[in-house]
Amino acid sequence: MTLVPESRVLLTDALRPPAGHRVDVVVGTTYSLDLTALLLAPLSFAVSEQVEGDVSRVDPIRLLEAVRRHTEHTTVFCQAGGIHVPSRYRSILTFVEDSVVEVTAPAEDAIFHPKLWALRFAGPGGAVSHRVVILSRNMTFDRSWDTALVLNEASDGAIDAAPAADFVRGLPARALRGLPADRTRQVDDLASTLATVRLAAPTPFTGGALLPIGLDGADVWPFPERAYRVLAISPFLTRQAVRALGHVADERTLVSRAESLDLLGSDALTGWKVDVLQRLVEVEPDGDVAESQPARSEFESGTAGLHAKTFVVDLPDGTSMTVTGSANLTGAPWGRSVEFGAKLTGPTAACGVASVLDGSPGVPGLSALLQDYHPATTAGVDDPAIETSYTLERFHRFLASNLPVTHVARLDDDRAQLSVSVEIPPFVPGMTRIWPVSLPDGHAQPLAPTTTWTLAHLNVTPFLVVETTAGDGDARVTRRCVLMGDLRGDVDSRRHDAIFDVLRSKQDVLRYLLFLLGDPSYDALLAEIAGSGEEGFHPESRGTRQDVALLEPLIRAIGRDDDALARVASLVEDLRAMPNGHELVPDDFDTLWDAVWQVHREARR
Amino acid sequence: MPSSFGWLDADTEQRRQMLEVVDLFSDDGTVDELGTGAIRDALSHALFPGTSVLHTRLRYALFVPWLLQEAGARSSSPDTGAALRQLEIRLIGSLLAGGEKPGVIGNRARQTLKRMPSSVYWSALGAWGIRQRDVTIEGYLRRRHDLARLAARTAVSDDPETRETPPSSGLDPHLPPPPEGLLTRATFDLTAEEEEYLSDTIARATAGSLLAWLVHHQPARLPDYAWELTTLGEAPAQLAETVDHARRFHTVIHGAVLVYNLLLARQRHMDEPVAEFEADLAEWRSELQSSNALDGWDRAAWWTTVTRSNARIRPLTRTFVDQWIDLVASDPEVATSAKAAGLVTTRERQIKGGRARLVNQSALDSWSGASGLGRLDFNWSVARGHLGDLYAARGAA
Repeated sequence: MTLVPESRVLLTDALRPPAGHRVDVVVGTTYSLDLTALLLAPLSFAVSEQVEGDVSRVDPIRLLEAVRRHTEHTTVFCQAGGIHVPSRYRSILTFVEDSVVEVTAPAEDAIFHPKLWALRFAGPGGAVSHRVVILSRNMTFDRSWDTALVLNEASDGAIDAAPAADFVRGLPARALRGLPADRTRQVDDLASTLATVRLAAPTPFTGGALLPIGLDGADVWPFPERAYRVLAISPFLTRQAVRALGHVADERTLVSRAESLDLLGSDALTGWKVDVLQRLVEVEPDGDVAESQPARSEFESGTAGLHAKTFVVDLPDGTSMTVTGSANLTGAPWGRSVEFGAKLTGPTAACGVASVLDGSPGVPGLSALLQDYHPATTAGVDDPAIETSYTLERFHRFLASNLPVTHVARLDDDRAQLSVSVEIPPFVPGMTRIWPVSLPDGHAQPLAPTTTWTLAHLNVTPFLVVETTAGDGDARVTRRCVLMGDLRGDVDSRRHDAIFDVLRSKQDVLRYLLFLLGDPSYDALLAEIAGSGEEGFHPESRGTRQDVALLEPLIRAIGRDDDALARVASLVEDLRAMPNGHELVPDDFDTLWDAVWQVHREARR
Repeated sequence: MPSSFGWLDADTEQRRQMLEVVDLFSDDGTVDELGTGAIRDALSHALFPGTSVLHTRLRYALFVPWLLQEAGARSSSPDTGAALRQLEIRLIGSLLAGGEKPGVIGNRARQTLKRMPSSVYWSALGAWGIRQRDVTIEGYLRRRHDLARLAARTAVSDDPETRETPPSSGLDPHLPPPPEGLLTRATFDLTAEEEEYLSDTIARATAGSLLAWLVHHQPARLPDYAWELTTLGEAPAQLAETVDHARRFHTVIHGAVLVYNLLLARQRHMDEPVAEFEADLAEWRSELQSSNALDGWDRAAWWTTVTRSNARIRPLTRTFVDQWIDLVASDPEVATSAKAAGLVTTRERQIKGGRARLVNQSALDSWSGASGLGRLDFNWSVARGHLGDLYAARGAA
């Protein structure tokens, strides 16, 4: 598939294990991170396929089970100071805390910007299979025009996975705080099996190579000296990089965002045919068009508009190369910021610039969605807000990198006290407020070396919101992000409370048990007992079932799925430890479980 | 599994939206220049749920689940996605062999087809209750694979009496069986059994819509627009009211698009088109009067109708439409009205920023000379085609 508008890849399909496989280890990287989006990723990993965007529509019990099951083998590396403030705090976010690792780029003042997923799946009989996914979208709910390259393992694949393995192996060293030993081992183990894997190139491409950038400080510039034709798609630009790529070919097209082109000015674009997406192909999340908003940086790039970074070059030998990934046309060569991309090659007729822009019979090309653009000025315009937004980003990165510490003290059965200590740099831009992400912003306090809140145990969190406003007039910018504090003196029942914040009745526990067992034959039944807007084929015949037989999936799990039984055992333990636990145990389950557990133990002897 | 490369969609709903947008942009007439597409879509959804501008013929609503079943049955390998794609490409040949041509999705693209019937009809299958709502194509194939493996493992020990509920695959168990030769020689003609199934299923799943009502209330003739149906008087009052709102909006908003084109033509100094757009506006004004599009229009009820289908219409969009209606009601000469020009210019700039044609010379240069002038029919032409397929099968039976 080339980048004609109708080539579409579903994010959930990109992450979901192949049929008959389960997720074994996952490593993801992103520049900015939406914690709620991170919450949804495990749903894609789960065997059950019910995943559609909106988190409020997801069955909370299904979500709880998926998150608990998958966070222990999922690690996401993101830029320090790059975590977005979630629109609403949920206590379930407590389970993703261990998955999130804040990192910084090796080069001074550079950013960690790759959007890479490396996944290992376990199949029947212990066979493993790998996938490398290279995106231009961060782990956020953006609705922008982004690309996805999904590379699956194939023994005769044209692409060597080793560069991704090396990249993944190098990530823990970039972490602000040391990773727990078992996570580092997990990441290393994924890297070691990925290192010998071959990946298939997507048709019609016939070859390719992965492009890790910035971890080793080496320059990367995959473009040839001379070529026939270039198509560059990049939302952000610098004059120097546009000039460098311009030398490659006389016939060249640049697709970018109007505000980025205005910053550059038309002089810097001489020789380029310059296009932007037509405004009305920028589909808004709610389906209605909003006021056109300029994007100043990747962090605030908004939800709509062009966000892909892809370059197509027609070479003199009748082949073409496509470079796609996270790197904007803002550096030439690339190498300061940490990025990840891939180069794909194939015949120009199928993979060249014309195939993307003009399409083929019955397949519209990208040109159909583009319009010419001429910047208003020759020398470019300054946006004073950009300088402020960089200053704020650096400031937030400083706060994150100096490791805030959050001390928790238990006050009584319900309440705890949270004391946050932050290192404040000598120069502080503008006004800054801080508050725990679990509280509304009415609880914000001015930034100080130590700030204190009293809150419910359930709301104890290492995630802190900082919000800074600086600059005057046109240069005025407000930036909000989440920092992770080191949580010390944790309230021990916090995660336990978070589970039973979701599981409130026997019915809930029953459904949770079924999810824990993960038996595919029960999916329909689950939907039925959920009674949650899921419409059956004949709604009039639908009743609520309280009497689901757990016996069958439990017995099936014996000797087949020890993990499933271990998950159930852990829940049973939690339930039995609770003072009112017996009120939540489904009728007759205790007897059944004791019998099953005994058989299981005998079978293992 | 094969590797893939393309534009990223967060979910199947976004994929449908994007494919529709691409389709609308392939025709200058359907481009939504003034950003009223969300209102158009809200009314389409209320009147004809599940329909999409990408749809061609109704029988695809059966072809797709049949091909899914077929791909799922071949699930010895985990790569059922590729099997489905091959089947969809074979279907093109089969329909052409059956003598069909218009309406065959991919009859030009063939092997390079990107817009697969399964993704084009997937939302409709959900809206019409032919599949479970939150199942994706890939998810269905996975579930089939898992169930097949489970059955293979438990077939011996499993007492059928102990299983009260057969596991659901995600597709309606009442789906009619596929015809013989589906993949060698197929047509768009529905059999009597298929017609009955689709009529019942669609009418039940979309109860309360004009689509559902028309499934069971076949009119003598299917006119050009839904509001020209002579049987509307017999429809439930709320339906007739929604259709009437659609009619009024269809008429009123066309004037704004004409003014937009007129302003572009003036700015480009195209004398002949300017005169033509002025004449079109005069004609539109008489249509406005003869159709009584503004008389007694309950605007509060109108917005209630729109927001019932899409509660997230933005205030900016609503304000623009309200101001346009007020202006049309008060000023008879929009072609020369500075206020009309100002309203349309502001709206374009508001939504397109620096990409607005009325402020950006290069955007103006690339204007084709007429855009967004196709009249809104709220997917009636699509629904009419589907209803025609149902009615034809009844006639043949």
